[in-house]
Amino acid sequence: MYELLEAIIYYIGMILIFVGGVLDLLASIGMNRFKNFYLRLHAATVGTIGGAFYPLVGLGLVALTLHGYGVMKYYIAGISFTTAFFLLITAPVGSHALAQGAHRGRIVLPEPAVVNRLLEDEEKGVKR
Amino acid sequence: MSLIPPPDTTIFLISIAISFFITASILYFIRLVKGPTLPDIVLAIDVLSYDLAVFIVAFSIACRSPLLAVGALPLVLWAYLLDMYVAKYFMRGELGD
Amino acid sequence: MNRAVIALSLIIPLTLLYLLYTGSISLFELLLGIIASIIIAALFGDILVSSPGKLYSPVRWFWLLFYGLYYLTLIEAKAHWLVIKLIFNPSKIRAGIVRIPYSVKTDYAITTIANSITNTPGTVTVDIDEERKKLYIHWIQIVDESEEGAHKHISEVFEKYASRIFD
Repeated sequence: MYELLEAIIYYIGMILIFVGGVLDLLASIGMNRFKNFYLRLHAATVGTIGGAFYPLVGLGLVALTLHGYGVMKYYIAGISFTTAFFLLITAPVGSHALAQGAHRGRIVLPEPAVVNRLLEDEEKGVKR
Repeated sequence: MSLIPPPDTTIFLISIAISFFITASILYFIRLVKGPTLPDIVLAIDVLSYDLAVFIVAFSIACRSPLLAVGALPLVLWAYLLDMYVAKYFMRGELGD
Repeated sequence: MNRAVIALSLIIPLTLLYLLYTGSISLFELLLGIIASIIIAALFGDILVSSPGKLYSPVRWFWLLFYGLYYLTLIEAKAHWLVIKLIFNPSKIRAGIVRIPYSVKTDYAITTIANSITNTPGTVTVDIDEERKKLYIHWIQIVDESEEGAHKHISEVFEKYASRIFD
């Protein structure tokens, strides 16, 4: 029973690592194909959540099942889960701050835009 | 006992997966060099840091040493700090609190 | 008075968190955890928590766990698939910034909604107007430009769970 549970954790972790690798590759292709900063932000989100959060969780799960590592495997798994948790909390705040700064400072605007309510509201003076 | 492969096979499989991350890092680095504006460069640095964190944890599993993995957490927090400072710089034109 | 109650109610969760991270329950770690929790709760308690009763409600913890699992599996998978399709077909992109309303009250709930929106590929929170209760979202493929339609497509699920967890 314990071995079966260990095997399930191991294979879930391995699948997460490989899916994360493929998603990271796709996100890096997207970073080079998209034409605008705001579009690259979405590719970077794929690279952050799919390409870093899932592999970190997967590495932690795999580290929990390794034989011959003694008590070290708990350290590696704990660091891995902690890093994944902080990534999940801080990465969206960082990319939001970048987008807000780039838009408010007029560094770059979403140029081919179907609609831009933020620019309309700022020019009308409704917002701030 | 035979449900999961031995650690050497696991390390081999993880190193195959790491090759994907290295290829992706090279493509991110192209964006870092090309990036027309400063936000693009900072975004590329962010994603590169997150990839490096994954790489560090995988490397510490391969080397059987938990001390190497400690660097992953400050790296992620550092990328967050860089984002905040650069955003402040965009909005006010100077570095400050 | 209120501040003392908040500080007292925070000691147990902080000690549990400390024990979880150190990974041992020896007497030394227990004492050190309790002392560190008392100091942190006295210093930062009234900034972090405003109504300590919510911290001990098992229903909210259940919804937090359920929402975390649901968000990290199904919602993320759907959003990733949409952006990956657009990477190989960039001519289909209809990007722009839309405005959506929100109706939650606490800061934690607003942060949960904004972080959830930014963490799904395809939508990024660009700005917030706290007086009129609006969020400005950069959306990679606009299906509906109006406020209500965009709210239904983007943040209805997040808002439902955020109000169950934090409000």
